[in-house]
Amino acid sequence: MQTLHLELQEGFDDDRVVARLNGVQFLSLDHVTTRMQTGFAAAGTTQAADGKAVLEVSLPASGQQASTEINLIQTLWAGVNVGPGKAIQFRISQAPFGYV
Amino acid sequence: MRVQDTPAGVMQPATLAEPAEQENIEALDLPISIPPLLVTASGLYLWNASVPLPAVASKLALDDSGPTDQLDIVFPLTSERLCLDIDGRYPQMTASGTITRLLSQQTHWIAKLKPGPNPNQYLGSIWYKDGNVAAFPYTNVEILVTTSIFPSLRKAVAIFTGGGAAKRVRGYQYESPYFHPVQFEFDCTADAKPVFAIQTHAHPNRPASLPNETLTLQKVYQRAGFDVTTSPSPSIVPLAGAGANGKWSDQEMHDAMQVYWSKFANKAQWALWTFFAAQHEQGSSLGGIMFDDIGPNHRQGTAIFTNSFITVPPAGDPNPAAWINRMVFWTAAHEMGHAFNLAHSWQKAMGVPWIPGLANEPEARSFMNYPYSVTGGQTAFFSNFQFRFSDQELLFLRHAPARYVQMGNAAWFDHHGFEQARVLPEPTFKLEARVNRAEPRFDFLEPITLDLKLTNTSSQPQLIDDKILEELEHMTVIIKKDGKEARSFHPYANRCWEEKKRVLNPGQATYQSLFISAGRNGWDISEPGRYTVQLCIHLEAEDIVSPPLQLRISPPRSYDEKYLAQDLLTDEVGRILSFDGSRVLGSGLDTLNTLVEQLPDSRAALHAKVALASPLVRDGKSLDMSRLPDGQLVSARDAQATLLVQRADFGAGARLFKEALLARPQLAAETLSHFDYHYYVDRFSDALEEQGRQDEAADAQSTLLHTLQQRKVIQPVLESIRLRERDLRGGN
Repeated sequence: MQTLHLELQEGFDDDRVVARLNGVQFLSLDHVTTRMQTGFAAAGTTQAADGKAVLEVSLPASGQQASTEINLIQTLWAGVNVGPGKAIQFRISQAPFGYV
Repeated sequence: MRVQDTPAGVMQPATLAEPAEQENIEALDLPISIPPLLVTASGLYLWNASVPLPAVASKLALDDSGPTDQLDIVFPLTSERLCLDIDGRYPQMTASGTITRLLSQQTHWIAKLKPGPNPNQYLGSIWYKDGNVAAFPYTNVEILVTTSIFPSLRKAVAIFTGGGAAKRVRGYQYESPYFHPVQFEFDCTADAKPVFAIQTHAHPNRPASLPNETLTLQKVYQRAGFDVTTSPSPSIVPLAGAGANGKWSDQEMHDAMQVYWSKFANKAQWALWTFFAAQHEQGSSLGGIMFDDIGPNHRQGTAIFTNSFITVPPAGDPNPAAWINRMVFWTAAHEMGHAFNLAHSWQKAMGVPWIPGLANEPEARSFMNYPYSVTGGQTAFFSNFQFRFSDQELLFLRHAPARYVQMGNAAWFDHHGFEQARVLPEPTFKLEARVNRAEPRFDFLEPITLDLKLTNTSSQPQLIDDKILEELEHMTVIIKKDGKEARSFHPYANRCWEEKKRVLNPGQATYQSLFISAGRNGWDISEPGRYTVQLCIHLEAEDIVSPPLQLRISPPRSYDEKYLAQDLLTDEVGRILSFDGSRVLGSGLDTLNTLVEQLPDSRAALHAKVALASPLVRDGKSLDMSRLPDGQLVSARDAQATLLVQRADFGAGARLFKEALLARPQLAAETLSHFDYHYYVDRFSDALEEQGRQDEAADAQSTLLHTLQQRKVIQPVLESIRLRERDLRGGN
């Protein structure tokens, strides 16, 4: 089993956020808002079997949804950012994100 | 030789580099031999009427130049600053200025400059205006600079043109190489490892051109334009403040800031608390945070966590210790930047930027960018990082309106409308504006009259003008509706009295009322919502500022109220209420009669009855100018004006006065103000007495006495009413 840390970063503004890994919901948060001074909004963690996995994040209120395939053979950190037009973007890292 | 750490960057020997030493040299005006070409002109200049314009601006046709603008004449309490940013360190080729009138009306402008055809001449167009823009129509500025190695001889002249206004010329005296002051206080916990300075060449990954120097956090901000002082008494903050888990939450840090920061105050000030601790409750992924978005005054405190990712160097780094020092130092400068209201480099276009069209700078080599987020990561970042802010950030720090940058500041006048006032640490007087009701809530259409109180809080008797609270030309009254610009209240009339002094003993107070609903600005307080009112009396040696008074106007309760408001909130009605009646403003009088008829039990009707009654109880005169020719302004004699005597209708007036003042006296005293209620009952009593109705006059005084007694008015006032009643009853 490997751990996936999901970190909601830039662009959230009082949003409801739902995250699924391989179709299994592991995060559902309301009122997610980015703190501008750190670029961090909220975080969640899940575990899955080693190997390829599909990470899916949606913003139900705006109907936006995006997914990415990750190779979960070690602990990973997935940063989720919301860009213009509520477009969801992923940043996958093998090291923790840092915020200042 | 090296560049001094000021934005002006005067070239001086290294031994003279520190600001304190520079100040000594400036004070002595020593004739040090410094090549004049290396003396810079950037810095803060203050308007000084004694700057000799002709000598500096010899090329100007001064007879053609308006010496000032009309507002400067009307409002002589003007100060003005010019920030010139044309040379020295990181010049932005920009000039900005702030004009402050009446201590509260500010106009801010910014111009991009380019050198003019003559030496020390700069030309630019004004591209940004903020505040009282109507008072500053200019579109271009020309600046002529006089440079000197002697600060006292440095001067600037600005000539504002364009916008259809007469030319405006201002002379300024050099004040400082910095644009704003700021004080830092660095406090830490025992388990933190703070870094206040680094050796710039300590780590091998750096720009080849980076000077080798000891760089302090103070120098970073001096170079950005701030006159930095550091609190001499840093505190060790006990770990107990972080609670049982030993990790700091934002609220815990805010609490610690209030206790341990020697400068803490719930107000805007150029001061910042920087706190070094081990770890935030968010964990090691948080290297620092400007935590102070709590309470009304944000951006006063910032924190750096030294048991976090910022002290974990990359594997194989050639100098891990230097890497850690540099990263902690960078984080401190970064978090302090947030306290100056700087956003992350990739967030510049988000939210509501201070100027439209700001571009994100995701690759900027700035204290405000994440080193590990640029292309090539932190190695690429530090290989090309000059330990500075971007030009866009420097423009903001040096030239944006101060309220955007200053720590603890907020929307204009929300908490600090009189920030420029000359308030002494121990003021001689205390000024209060009160509404004498349980909650400062007013009905829709209810006129607002404040009770003013000025108390001698010193230990010595003070000589005051007898009419100090009535001479409104020496008083500034600011009214601000939430979410709207502050407005300066202008009464319909300024009265002029023969100067007469009286003594106010320690602890003694003087009182007056102030009708503030309407004035020459129109109805400043009329719409439902929350308002802040603040007053300032300008005395010779100091300004006395009242605490802000919060008022709330309730929404209309009926369609009738809404409909009536269209006729009531007019200039005529405002004047009738302000002057306690009229014999000529027929339309306004009709409206007040309608109000009394349609909403007889309303508080507004009570005010209307007083205004309608006052001219009815006595004969009065009015000037008949009906034969004035159209469109011509002539003297009353030439217009064949006549004085008409208007006979009193005492019965009607007395009935209205009784309904307003005596039927519901508590309500009347509350809505009219204590001072005015007393005044109106006295007027009514006088009129009754003149009619030979002493008993009724005495009864009115009796009602006045009991009403004000219940409202806990001070004894000397009650005693004077008792005496009046006794006199009216024939001394019994």
